[in-house]
Parts: sequence; C-alpha cells; structure tokens
Amino acid sequence: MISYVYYPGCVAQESGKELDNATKFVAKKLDINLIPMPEASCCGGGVIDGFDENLKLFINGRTLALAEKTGFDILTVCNTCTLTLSEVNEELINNKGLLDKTNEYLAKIGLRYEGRVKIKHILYAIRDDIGFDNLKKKIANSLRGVSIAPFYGCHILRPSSVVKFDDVENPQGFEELIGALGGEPLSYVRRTKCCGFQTILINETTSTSLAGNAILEAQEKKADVMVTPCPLCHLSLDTYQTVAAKSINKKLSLPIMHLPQLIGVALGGSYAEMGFSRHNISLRPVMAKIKQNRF
Amino acid sequence: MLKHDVVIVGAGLAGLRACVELRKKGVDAVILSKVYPTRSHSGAAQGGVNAALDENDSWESHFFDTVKGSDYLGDQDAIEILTSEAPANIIELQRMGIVFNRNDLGGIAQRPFGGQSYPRSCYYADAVGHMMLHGLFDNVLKYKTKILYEYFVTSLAVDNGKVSGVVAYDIKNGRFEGIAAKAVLFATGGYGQVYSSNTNALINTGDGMATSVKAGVPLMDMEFVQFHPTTLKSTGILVTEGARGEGAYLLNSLGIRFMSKYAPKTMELAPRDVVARAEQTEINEGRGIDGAILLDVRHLGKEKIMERLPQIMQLSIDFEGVNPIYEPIPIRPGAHYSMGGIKTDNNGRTATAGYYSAGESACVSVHGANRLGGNSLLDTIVFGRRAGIDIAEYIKDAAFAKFDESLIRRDEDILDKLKKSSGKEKHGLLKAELQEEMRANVGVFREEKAMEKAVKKIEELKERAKNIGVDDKSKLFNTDIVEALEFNNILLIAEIIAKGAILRKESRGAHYRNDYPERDDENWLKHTLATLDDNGNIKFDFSKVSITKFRPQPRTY
Amino acid sequence: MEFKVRSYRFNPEIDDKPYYKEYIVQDFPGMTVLNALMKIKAETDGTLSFRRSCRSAICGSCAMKINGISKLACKTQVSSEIEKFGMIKSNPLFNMPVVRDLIVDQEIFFDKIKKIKPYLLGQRDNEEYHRFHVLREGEKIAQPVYHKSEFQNLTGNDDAPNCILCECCYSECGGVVGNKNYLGPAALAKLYRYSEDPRDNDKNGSRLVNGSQPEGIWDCIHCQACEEFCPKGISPVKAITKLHEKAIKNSITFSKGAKHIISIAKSIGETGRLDEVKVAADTGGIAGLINDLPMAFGAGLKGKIPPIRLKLIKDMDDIRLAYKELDLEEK
Repeated sequence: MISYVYYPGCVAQESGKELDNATKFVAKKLDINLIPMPEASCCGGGVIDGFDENLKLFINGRTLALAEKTGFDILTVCNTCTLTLSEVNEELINNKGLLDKTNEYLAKIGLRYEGRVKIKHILYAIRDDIGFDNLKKKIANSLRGVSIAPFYGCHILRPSSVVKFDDVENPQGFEELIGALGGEPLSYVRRTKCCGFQTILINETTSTSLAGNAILEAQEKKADVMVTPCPLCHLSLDTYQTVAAKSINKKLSLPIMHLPQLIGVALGGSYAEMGFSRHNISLRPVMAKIKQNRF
Repeated sequence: MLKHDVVIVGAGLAGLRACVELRKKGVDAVILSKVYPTRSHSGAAQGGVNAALDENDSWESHFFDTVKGSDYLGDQDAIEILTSEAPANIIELQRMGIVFNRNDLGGIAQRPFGGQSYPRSCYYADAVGHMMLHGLFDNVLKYKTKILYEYFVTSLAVDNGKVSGVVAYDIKNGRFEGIAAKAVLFATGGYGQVYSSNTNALINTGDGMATSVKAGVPLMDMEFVQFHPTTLKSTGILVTEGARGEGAYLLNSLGIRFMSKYAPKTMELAPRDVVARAEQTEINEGRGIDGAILLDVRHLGKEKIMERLPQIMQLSIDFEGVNPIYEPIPIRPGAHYSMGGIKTDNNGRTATAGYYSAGESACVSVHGANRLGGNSLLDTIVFGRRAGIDIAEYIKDAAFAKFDESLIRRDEDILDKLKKSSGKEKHGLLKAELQEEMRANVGVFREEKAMEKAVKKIEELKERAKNIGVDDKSKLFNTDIVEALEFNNILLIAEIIAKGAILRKESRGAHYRNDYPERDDENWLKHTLATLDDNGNIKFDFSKVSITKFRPQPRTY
Repeated sequence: MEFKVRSYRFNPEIDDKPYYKEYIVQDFPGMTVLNALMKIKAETDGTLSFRRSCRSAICGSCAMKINGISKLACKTQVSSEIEKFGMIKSNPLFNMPVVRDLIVDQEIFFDKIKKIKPYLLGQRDNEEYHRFHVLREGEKIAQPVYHKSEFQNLTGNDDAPNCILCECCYSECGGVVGNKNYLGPAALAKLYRYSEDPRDNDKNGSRLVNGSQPEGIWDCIHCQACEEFCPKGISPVKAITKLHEKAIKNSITFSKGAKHIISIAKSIGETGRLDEVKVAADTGGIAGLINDLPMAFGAGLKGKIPPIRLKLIKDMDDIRLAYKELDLEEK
C-alpha cells in the first residue's frame, strides 16, 4: 500500500463531488491510502497572486507544511491546484528569503516548512508510483474499441519549469494511461490547449468558445468520450457545454469524464458509483459501448 | 506617388533617433524599411555605448582614445562632436525611456571596453542595442509616425544635385512606389553579408551604400572593414567585447593568454583590429584549435556571467553547444562593421542637397581606420539626432525637387527582366561564392596577389550574375526577388572594398597589408572616395583628414 | 543525415488552397531549422517564403510553428526536432492571417502594442536634466540618480524589456484564440514594463485603468503558454498577474476580473474555501447570475448545484491570521 496526503481541492468538494468519490473508489481499488487533510485551504484558484502574492505563499505554504508533517507526498486531482502548490513549493525551495518569511507566519500557527514535499497529480502518480503493469492487473471492464480524447488542459503541463511530469511539446503520459486501460487514445490538436475556465465568469462567450472548439474537434474525429484530469476543465467542457455550443454556433454532445472516473470505470465502477448522473452531458452512450466490450 | 517632406530609409538606431527628433517637431517624416523596425540589426548590439559620464573620466580622454583607435584617420572635428555630445545624448536617451544598468551611487553603470582608457561603456546587461532599439521605436510610436515597412529602396532620385525622393519596391504587394521628398535620410546600416563569416543579420547587404554610389554620391574609406575578435566559431554570431570588458581571457591551444605578446599593456582590451590580428596570427601559426581560439569567462563566476552576460551565455549554449560557465567558448574573428560608408559632414549632409546619411551606412568619419567598441551605438544616436535637427531646418526653405518618374519604370523593367530571365545561375549560390572569396582574400590580413584574385572572381561573378534566374515569379511577398536585388548590392560593395584595399598601399587600423606592414602618413593619411563613372566602373579620389588637436603618433597598446 | 522538411505552402496569388510540400535536406553539425529553410530556398526552391534577419534570436523575424509549436527557427536545432518528431514540420504562426507560406500579417499584433501607449507618460526627473547640454572643455555632465532597486523589475534577464516582439506568445495565446481583440501577452508585458518604470509619471493611474478595460489584463486565461513558449524566457502571464495585483492595490476594481479575484480572496478569508456560488454572484453581479441561471438550473436538476453555505475548513483561524499578517482584512 502507498500513502498520499489527499488534496482534492475545492471543486471536488463542492460542485464536482463526483470527482472526489471516483478518486476514492480508484484509490481503494489500487491500494492507495488517502490521508485526509481537513485543515487544508483553497489554493487560490490560480489567481490569488493577482490579489496578493504573499497570500498565495502563506496559505499554500501552510498546506505544504501540514503535508510535510505527515511524511507523505501530496496527491492532487486538479491541474490548477497542482500548479499552484508546485509553484509555491519551487519558490520556497529556491528562495530562502521567501521561505523564511513564510516560516515566520507558519511559526505563529505552530507549523514549519522544510521543502520536502512533492506534489503529484493522480495521472502521473499512477504512471510513476503505481505503474501501468499493476494497473492493468486490476482492470475489470475493457475499454477496447472506445475512442478516448485526452484533454490535458494547461496547468498539468505548463510552465514546464514548474510542473515537470511530461514533455510539454509532445506529452504522452495521458495517452499511455488510456492505452494501459485498454482504450484508444484519440489524436487531436487541442488536447494541450486551454479550456478557458479562468475567464468563464468574466467573458463567457470567448471563454467557452475554447472549450467548444476542443469538443468539436474531438467530436468530429469520432471520440466516444473526452477525459480531463482537471475539474475546472470539466466545468468548462461539461457543465458549460451547452453554452459553449452556442458560443461557437455548433451542435455539441460529447460526454466528458474526470480522469479518475475513466480509471474507475475500467476498474469495474458502475454508472452510479462514478456519479455520472451529476454530469450535464449523458454518459449513457459511452457506458453502453463499454458494457458491450465487457470480457 | 507618395509625397512626404522627409523620408527616412532604415529603422535601426540612427533612423529612429533622427525620426524622433523630426516627429517631436511635428515634421512630416515617414520611415521606410525593408523589415519591420524592431527587426533592424541595431538590436543585436550587445556590449555598450560609450560616454564619459564619471566625474573621474573626461570627454577629452574619450576624444583622444577614439582618435588613436581610428589610427588617426578619423576626422577630429567630428570626433570632438561625438565625444563631447556623448554624455548629453545618453542622459537624453534615459529620459526617453531607455534603461541602463545602475552603479552603486545611482548613476549609469559603466564597463571597460577595448581601446578606452576609462570604463565608459553604458550597458543593459549584454543587450544594450536591443534596449535602445525598442526604446527608440516606442518613442517613434509615441509620435504616431507613419511606417512603410517591408519596402525595399531601389533608387535614390536626384535632380540637378538635389534629392527628390526614392523609388521603393513594396515587397508585400510586389509593386513599385515613388516617394517624393524634400529630404531623404539613409540610415541603412552595413554590409556584413559581403563576408562568409560575419556577425551581421542576413539583411545587412549594403543596400543604402550601393544605391547611393549608383546615384552619384561618393562612398568613403570602404576598404576599412572591422573584424570582430570574438564571434562564435560555427556561426559567426557575435560575442560581446563586454565579455572582455568584464575580464574574460583569450587563450590559445597551449592555454596561454597570448595577448601579452601583442598588447602587453592592455591585453584583451586592446582595440579590435589589434586583437583580431593577434588571434588570426595564433591560428595561422598553429596555436589555434580547429580554426578557433578560446574565450574564457569561467573565472568570472556563474553569478556575474548570469547578471552581466546572460545573452552570450544563452547564445553559446544554443548555437555552439558550450556553456561558458563551465567551458571556454571557441571563437574566431568575423566581419562585423563598416568603418566606411556614404560620405557626410558633421550634420549628416552628403554632397547631394537634401540627401543625408547617418549610422553605419554613413562615414562622417568618426571611426577612421578602426572603430572602438561602444562607439557605433554612440555614432548612431549622436549623428542620427544631428541629422534630424539639420533636416528639420533644411526643409523649412527647401522645395520639392523634380521627381523623374521614369526612374520608377526603369526599376520596374529591371525587376521584370529578372523575373522573365531563363538564366540558370542561383543568387544564393553566387552569394556563397562571393562571401567565401572575400573572407579568404580580402580579410584580416591582405596582400596584393590575393586581392587581385578576389577582384577577378568578382568580375566573373558579375558576368554570371547576368544569368541569374529566380524561381519565384509572384508579386506577393517575393523574397526570392529581394534576395537577388540584395546580391547585386553586395557584389558592388565587395568590388569597391577590394579595389580600395588594393589601392591603399599601407597598413592602418583594420586594413593590414602583409606587403605594406607600416602606416604611411606621408602618402596615405587621407580618405578614399569611391564613385562610379558612366559605365559603372569604380573611380577613386581622395580627401583630407581633419586634424585639430592630436598629431599622428605611433599607435601601441 | 538526411531529413524531411514538410512545409505549409500557400500563395493566394496562385494557389486555391494551402498545401504541404516536402523537401529532403542534408544536415550539418549544429544545423538550425532556419539553416535548413535557407538551404532549401538557395538550392532547391526559391519560392519557399519566410522572414528572417539576425539568425541569433534577437530580432524576432523567423518565428514560426515548428512541429506544432511557435519557435524561432534560428535557435531551433534540427537534431532535437528530428529526435522528437522525426521530421521538421513548419507552419506559419497562429492567431494572425497568413500572407504567404510562413509569412503572417503582423499588423494586428503591432496595433495592440501601440494601444498600450508604450512610452513614458510625463517625466519625474528634475527640470535640469531636460535640456540637451553639450559639454565644453573640462566640463562634466550631471545625471539624475536612480538606484538599482528602482529598476529591479526591469533589469533581470527574464524581465519584460527583454521581449523581442517575435509573436511566439501571441501565436500560442489561448486568450487571443478565444477573442481576437484581446491585447495578448506581449502588449500586456510591455504595459507592465512601463508601469514599473520609476521615471514614469502616470499620475492618475491611467495605464492600469485602461489596462482594466475589456480585452485587457483581466482577459488573460492563465494558460501559461506565453511563459512556456517565450524564446527569451520572459513570463508575460506573471507580468499580467503583477498588473492584477497592482490594479487591486490601487483600488482599480471596476472590472469583472478584479471583482472575481477579490471575491475569491474574500471567500478564502471567510471559509478557507472557494465558494463557487458567491464568486459567480460577486463577479457578474445580479445580471451575471441571471445569465448563468439556466446553466446553474440545468446543473442543479442533476444535483450538481454546489452547497449554498460552505463548511469552514479545520483551523480556520490559521487562514484568518495570514490575512491579518498581510494586512488584507480590509480589502
């Protein structure tokens, strides 16, 4: 059994509760021990440094210090949480002045950070810590013949000076995971482009057009489902898909899974267990296809 | 036909600086450039711009250093202007928004440069040209200047000794445009592409100089070509003199700082002509490494390299596969700068009324036989500014001279013929042959026989150039045609350089003759002037050097 | 080694539509993509069109898409591309109209640079430094004093003034893909550069006010592509974030974007969490909420609507202390 401090992030605890459930389902199947961290705060949603740079350091420094106390690395399921925690981690490790300043605050709440924590997104934790071979052994439902469009999003890849999981110019980790699960990764240009989420409340049309065009491309290439490692992308791609369709004036209907849901389904998770009823675009067609392919 | 009071051709530092001066006064001046202004090669200048700012320094010392650096061929009245106006120009640039690194007292930081007796090169890390180019361009935008970019000037229109405008080829649309003007400024830069190993941009093809001499305006001192001592071995990309200014060593294959032999007092910070010759001698005598010698900055330490020399660090890694923090950089001399150019007075005026030049394309002359590092950027801003001021005065009383529109048709015909030619010669390949010939035979060390061979080769290439055929017949953004026109320009410039170099039977500054190794003030303390006769043959004449304060002395470092 | 170059070709004067043309090139040690294209042009096909000038990564002319990513052809090694992609695929930059082959129309890009007023607004210096003074014999110049620290955000290797306007960031910017009128990373980095200049005299904060208009600093989607693909190592997205911080610290908060971030900060300060409903309401105002109602309602039907009142995180006092320490409680 391998243990991580689990940092689900805000969305997985609020509107994206199904992501949290699916992650826990997958963890159980793969013998991953998720240590809860109820003290952890929001990372700041990737924008908090625009309010105050030090606030970003303090609240995330605190999360890192809390994790360090347990002796385990952090497991994330959200791209933006992954980037934000990694950025702060890099800054604290590489800039002694900032580390001292942050530790001054942490001392007042009985914490201290030494810079020993690593942040791992579940996609790459499975690749690097669990291993695809171990994953394959536990597959219960075959994804054979299912065309799966991996939507990386941004913050799991960029900036590559901070998130160093994959080759930013030609990432393969997601495709390899889909392959390991028995599915067929779809090749399409927008797999590494932005979903637009950060401005969805500021400029809805332009923001959702980005998600819309990614969905359209995958749909035209006959994807059965699109999968994303990030709940913010999921909001853009699924919750706002109807709006996105209007923005680009096209008909869109592509089911969108959270990455842990896809893994969960392959490991035998049911429609209900994966919380698919909470999605905007129905998962029934793709689930039907997966059932047909059952061993 | 377009019509503007002033046309500035070229949007590097000199052109932009003149433009700011004119636009500030509300003059109807347009910029015309064959590339977008920020692509100009001034942006590649790295190390510094000289001015005696420090209270322990003096502009008089800068004055003398420059005269001596020029091997006494520089005009002293012009050099006095260059150096005494330098500090005010730097302060003015700073006021315009250019950023310089600071010293501990809050003044502009300065580093040592070759041939300067005091650290007086102002810098922005090792990208001061970039900083100045973008800063000046921002000012040109501030004054809402009309910019005709990607226009290639094919002819200067002159009527009865007065300029009347230019003919330009609109690259994007493939058509010719006549632009009538009361005054025209050529700030068109140098011709580094005449040589195979050079630090210059691919656009530096001496267009302005070639166009001028074809319009009857003399070129001065064209045989003086600066070879920069430190250019990357594989590509010729510039490694700033600022590296030596910060304390870098030059090493031969034996690991010896060989400059002790050639310039025992100033070592690596001797002027460029001295260092380039020293390097070439080491290489020729078998103490090089694979045709190069080494520039070593390792002892400066990572922090200083990253703070002061970040660009050359990156260039060495990207283009030479060497990280200077851990390994010395293989370098060799490469063609870098033209001391000669369009002959102008101290206000940028040429012999043709209303026609001006400034910057590298011009020859005032402040650099004489050898330019000191950090003086070229200074030249662009001092004389760019002066030209701007003078033009603003000049156009007040000037009228538009008669623009002979048949010039436009003449250039159209040349282009049409080129397009229709079924010739089999490719300009890209001819260019490579020319460049290699010039490097081999009109380079750092020169002698009669080799140069005669080069002239022969040039004659041959001129013949073959008549059979150039272009693949691209299109009107839309035809770069094939533009390159063919550029080739004809460098071919003409190469001929003037080679013939001028044969003519000058002495060694002075960057012009070194194995067969005439001494400076000969009695016969050759004079400028060379090149013009074309009616048949296109080069004619040479001479003019006096202005000597006001400093009598020529032996030049040692 | 021989390798393949597959280049986008389109000359609207003669071609009906774009196509790809393949060339086989012989390499040499240290060959760059620009070297390869120039070799093709000089020896094989003079019609292949692209811009180039300095060949040393300082002029920004030769930016193009190489194997899908915006790069300077002059500093991209052929060998590393071949190793990763097996060939060189060259395309024009994105987000700008193609003129021909690998040449794009840059007018729109430079128009946006002009829009941000890329120059000092007024002067802070003493009057005495404003006149041009030619030195007489023996005379020295007086210069205004600016300490290193005043220029600290403008003199680092990765700072905005090092931008060469090559358009790689603009070509990769997701914000521009979504909205052609968005100013984009290079222009906003330049806005930041001037807003940090100690000589600038922008008394009424007009830079930040203008920058906060729609299509300005708040339209960045934080996709990080500008930082990732800048060939000079500059991070426009970090410059934009700094502009956000500056705008809020200067109470320039009329924009939706500013309201959005303030609301997130408030939410974290109160609960330790990001309250999705409140942030939506605060950002868009009532109109925004109504606008999003059908969506929210649709999501709600499926049980997706987030909880109305969030549970506070454990040890919420820690977070409150962070706000107090940083003097952020009022904001």
